[in-house]
Amino acid sequence: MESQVLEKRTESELLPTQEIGSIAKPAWRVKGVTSDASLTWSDIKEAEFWGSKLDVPNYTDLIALLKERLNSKRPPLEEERTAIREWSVLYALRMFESVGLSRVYSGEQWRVEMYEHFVRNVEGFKLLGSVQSFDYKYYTKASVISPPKFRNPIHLEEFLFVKKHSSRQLKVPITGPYTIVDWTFNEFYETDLRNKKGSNAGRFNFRETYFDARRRFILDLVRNVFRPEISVLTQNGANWIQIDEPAVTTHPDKLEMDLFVEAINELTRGFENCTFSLHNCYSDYRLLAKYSPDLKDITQLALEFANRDSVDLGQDSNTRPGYQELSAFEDEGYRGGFGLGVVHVHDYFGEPRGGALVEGNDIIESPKLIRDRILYASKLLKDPSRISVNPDCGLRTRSWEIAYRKLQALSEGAKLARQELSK
Amino acid sequence: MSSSAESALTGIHPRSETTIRVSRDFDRGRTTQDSLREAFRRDAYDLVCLQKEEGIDWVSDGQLTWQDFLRPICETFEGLKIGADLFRWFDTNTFYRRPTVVGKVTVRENDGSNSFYERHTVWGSLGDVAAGKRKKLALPGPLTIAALLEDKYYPSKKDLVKDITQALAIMIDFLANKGISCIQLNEPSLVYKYGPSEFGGEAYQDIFSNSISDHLARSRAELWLHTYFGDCSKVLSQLLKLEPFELVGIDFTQTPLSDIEGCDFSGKTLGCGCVDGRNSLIESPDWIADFSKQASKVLRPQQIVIFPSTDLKYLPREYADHKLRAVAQAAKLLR
Repeated sequence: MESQVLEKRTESELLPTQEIGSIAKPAWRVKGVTSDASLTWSDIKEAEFWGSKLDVPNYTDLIALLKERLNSKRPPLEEERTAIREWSVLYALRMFESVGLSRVYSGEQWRVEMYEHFVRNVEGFKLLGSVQSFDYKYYTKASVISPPKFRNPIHLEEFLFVKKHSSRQLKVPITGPYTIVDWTFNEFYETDLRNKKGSNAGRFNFRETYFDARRRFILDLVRNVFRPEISVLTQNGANWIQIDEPAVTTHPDKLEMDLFVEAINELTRGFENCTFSLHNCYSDYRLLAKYSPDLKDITQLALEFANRDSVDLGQDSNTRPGYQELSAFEDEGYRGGFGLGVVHVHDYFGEPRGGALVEGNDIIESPKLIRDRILYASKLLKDPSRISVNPDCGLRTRSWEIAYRKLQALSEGAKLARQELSK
Repeated sequence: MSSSAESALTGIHPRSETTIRVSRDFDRGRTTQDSLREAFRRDAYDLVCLQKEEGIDWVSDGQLTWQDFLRPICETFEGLKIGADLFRWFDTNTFYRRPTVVGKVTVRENDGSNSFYERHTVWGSLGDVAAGKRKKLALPGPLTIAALLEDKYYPSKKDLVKDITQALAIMIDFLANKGISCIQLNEPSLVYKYGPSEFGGEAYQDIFSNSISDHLARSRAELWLHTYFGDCSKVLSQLLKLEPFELVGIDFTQTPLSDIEGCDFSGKTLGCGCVDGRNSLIESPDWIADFSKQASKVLRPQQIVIFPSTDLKYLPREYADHKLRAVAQAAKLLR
């Protein structure tokens, strides 16, 4: 077993704070760039409110642009679209910075959605149509129809813009190869294998073909798309990349998990000046723990825990059930860092308890609850320097008001935990 | 070898892009319940027409309104409460709201089955579009329902499975009287490759078989049993002995034909799930027919019905419809 590389600390403080990825696109951002949705005064007021609250530099320029759009009958010009998109990143950056996060990024304001953003920008994928995720929520699913090829950098423009406007540590989230492959129909590689294996339908081995095709797909994707993408980013100064892999542990067998490890190790191989973290959530952590020591270059696992936890105050195993699975990682020999999920990001249907407020379907965790979660994790891991603090996942399903309050509480909770640890 | 082949769908069909747009608008408060209902009705009508044109033998209304495979049952049965949290549906990238058992499971008195028919099928609003065709509906089987819900009531899972079977039996009879010619019980939990396979030390297939034998009789409707998301070779012989089922379906994307060569299909119809419901790659009718013919030679059923390995809801509608056409054409090639 390779020894786990300890998290490269670029900040001096204990318990650095970070976000995971997305925040909601404000209405002015969505409507401002389309021809078929009208901006309203309420949207502009929202931009004014947040511009002022977050002290976004020169935000009145955005307001002037939005007012012009409101009064105009024509569709937005390309430069207006670009400007509005850039403003949304600036607003997101200011939200993260104003609450004191150590590591920040763009709030994924330029991305359609984590899967579609990637496949739209890579050769070899064809978007086929909508499939249901749950209820009336859908996503657009693609098929791989030819070997994937790097076309143009996918994240570079966004990175360079963020780099120009923030002096904090930047952590660039990218959707990982295992998830891309799992969420994509594998037409090309399966057809290729079927043709090679011949046309005897009755002798056709579905399972073997499926897995062989999947492996070829993922390795081609890593070698021909992900590695060039990472190269471009690191050559331009990116030194922390978060690989988002929500699909990991969906297929809990050894073949699949070995494939995941192989793909991630191939992706990260040789990029010496870059920190890599892996984000996964709502998943089987006992299974992930088993394979985590094999991830050679992953120095932080950013995971969801708040969703599984109680909202009572306390720093013991009874009050902190959500964090027990940290022990599984320790038991399996993982010695890297954790991005500890300390705030819930979805609708909450539980009762308000001592550690949080509940407003409608939102839970607002108190700084003390977050402190207790962090301190309990510190006890389990016996080393607080391995902990960074983040929400369970991206906050894009929450309103800006709620996201802001949660991030404030997160930042304050980390501060309380630092104070305790320094005693 | 059987001399005839028929075709069918396996379960929930995906919604059209138009229906998806209307449902998104409804979800965001931009349109009304009536508009949504009409969109579903129209979509189901188009799907039934397509099945008729293509010559699908057992016609489904697509079960397009079903948010997940358990929800309509939970809304119909007493003793079940739908949860708010989302859980992954087997190893797919779709999610369901897990029900909780809070009391004895039965069909709601007086209006339960009728309520199910009115709310969760659209046959009542499609007029006579399916006149002369045999109608088909897929339901979750009792073992899968029991395996997927959170149980806060029954000390014994066997009793839970029994009560669910009895409730399903009541509903099946009602649906048969309403003109549904075929009810297919889908039982992925029986074979799911990543799932548990027992309750309290007793194997799923034994609990299932006993419950079916004791509490489910033959009905006016044909009863079919289908398993998917896993290899059925270890349980197939046992399932073939279950008297109420005229057809036993196999997901051939998970079960190699060579592994079930000795299974006795005499007197049964084979549900040939060789069309991959989880890949947009469209199999040719020739390939499907060839596979089905070989499966028939090996298993020697009295008849064969060609259908997708699983629901087609994992595909965009356009591709699901292509697969529907391929299944229908393959069956015609074998006649």
